[in-house]
Amino acid sequence: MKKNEGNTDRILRVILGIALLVIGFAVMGGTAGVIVGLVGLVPLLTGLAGSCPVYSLLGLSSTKAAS
Amino acid sequence: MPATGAEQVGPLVIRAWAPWCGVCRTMAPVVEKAAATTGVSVVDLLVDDANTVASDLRITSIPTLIASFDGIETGRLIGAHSEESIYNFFATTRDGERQTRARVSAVTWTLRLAAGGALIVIGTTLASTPVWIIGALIASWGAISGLLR
Repeated sequence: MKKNEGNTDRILRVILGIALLVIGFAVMGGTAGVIVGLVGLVPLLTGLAGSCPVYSLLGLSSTKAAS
Repeated sequence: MPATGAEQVGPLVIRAWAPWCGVCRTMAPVVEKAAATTGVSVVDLLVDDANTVASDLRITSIPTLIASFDGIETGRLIGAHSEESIYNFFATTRDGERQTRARVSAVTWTLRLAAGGALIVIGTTLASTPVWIIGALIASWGAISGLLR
């Protein structure tokens, strides 16, 4: 699994994921809350893994070679 | 090593490729940019024209980049890789270090540990079992990643 996310991208995904997870499971609750929470897991896990399957499919990357 | 230019003093990268190889052509600008940035010389080895040399160097697929320092092979990069990986390969070659398998970076395991910890705290504070369980799993992932580095 190749890394295709830059650090800023990863941190933003993790923050978004945590926010959705907390809003879904801890604030909203119910079926809608579970759905929001599960949606939040996507950016959270891709951010923590450093690799985004959608980026891979589209040939995108937010990494850059160190200079 | 065989006479491929690898006897040169200092860092050198041998690039084994062929004009019909699409991945090789795609990687070419990235390799050239990394070589220019790091100042590492690149010797091209066209495998169709140099079968014996390719065989001596145990090149079984292309593209293959072979890192050499003072004529001693320090590592290989086989197949398609990200710009970052190629740059890191060249930087490591320039420094004469042996190429090692990519490991989990400090940023990665720290981010996992921090995200997991944050979820445990938030989940416990808000009495949300799913949140702290997910946090505990992610924190464990981060801790294991850090320990296995």
